[in-house]
Amino acid sequence: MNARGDAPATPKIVSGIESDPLNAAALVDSVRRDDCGGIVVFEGTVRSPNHGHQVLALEYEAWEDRAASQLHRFATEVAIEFDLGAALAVHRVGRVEVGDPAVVIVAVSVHRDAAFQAAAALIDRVKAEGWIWKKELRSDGEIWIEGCD
Amino acid sequence: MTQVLLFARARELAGTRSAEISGTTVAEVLIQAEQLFGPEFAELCASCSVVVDDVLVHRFEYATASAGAELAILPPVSGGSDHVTAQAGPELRVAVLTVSDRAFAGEYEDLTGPAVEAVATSRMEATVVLRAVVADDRSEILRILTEWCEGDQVDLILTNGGTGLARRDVTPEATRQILDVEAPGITELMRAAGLEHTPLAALSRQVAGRRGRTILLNLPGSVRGATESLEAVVHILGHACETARSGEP
Repeated sequence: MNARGDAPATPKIVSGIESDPLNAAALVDSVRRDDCGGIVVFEGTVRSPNHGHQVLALEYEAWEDRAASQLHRFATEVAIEFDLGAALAVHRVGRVEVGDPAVVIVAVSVHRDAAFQAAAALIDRVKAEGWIWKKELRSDGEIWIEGCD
Repeated sequence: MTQVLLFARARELAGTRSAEISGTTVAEVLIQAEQLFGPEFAELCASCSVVVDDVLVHRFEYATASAGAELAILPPVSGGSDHVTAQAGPELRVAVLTVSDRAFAGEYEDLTGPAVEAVATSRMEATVVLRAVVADDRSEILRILTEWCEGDQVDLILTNGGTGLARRDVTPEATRQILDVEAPGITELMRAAGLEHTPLAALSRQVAGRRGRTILLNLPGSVRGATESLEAVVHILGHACETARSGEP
């Protein structure tokens, strides 16, 4: 129960590591619920250029089973902390093309404030702690991105 | 045998996703892996997290933590360098004292002090909080070491120089004078490593030990001697410092 007394009783949690392209709209639909009026969606997409280099794609690698359970745990903990109706964290592995989503985060809440805060907290957690690495495939070579970029 | 799992750049440098490596402690397994997979891997390894049987192992615990059945070597993740550093616990505060008449007089530039700092910061997650250059003068060395040990400002003091058999060499004597306890095993390990390169290592007189909550360690004066000696013990110094800090003040 939150202070307003109208938080959903049990948050729905969706998480996973996917090797196929992510469909953000379909993922959002999987966590919509009538008792929540705020949905914040974050898509982390592959950007080019990055630090002056033309990026062709990103190659993601994960410690797959551990990363999957991490995403589930992060989503659950954030959902509880912010009294969410649902939380979703799905991350790609393998090659992701420029413009395509590498990660989708969704926070579903009764009101918008909690949804915005929760979505930010969840992506920060995934980026900082998830055992997921990325290699930038550039027009002039390849480089693993280690540490904040 | 421990099943070592390798990811991302560590996997690429090793050329394999997993390897069976022997060793009873985390430090032993990592050293074996570094020897097996080469210097670039070793350099990356210093910034990796290590998870043993699902538990993140603190860098200070490498020497004592059991290697377990499965040990994962995990490079920094893309969004996480700040966080991983925070998880790795308190940083080691290191002070570096160069003991050399000539460097003190400005006759040549002190190269050993910076080389020691480079090894300390790259291999031990250390921050250099104090540094000084002093002549081979027993009372001056003693004064500085005593001052640095006061007020819980330094975890580890690394001196370099003044450890040979020249009549001006007095660093071990000054150090021993302020130690509460000696830890001869540390310098035995350094000497053993040095003897693999030169029998002259047997002439070094370094001492190591603890004063209060600070570990003190003498290193030789040459760049090579100092860095190789420090490299030989970096994997146990963190634990030494942690032990020295533990318990009531």
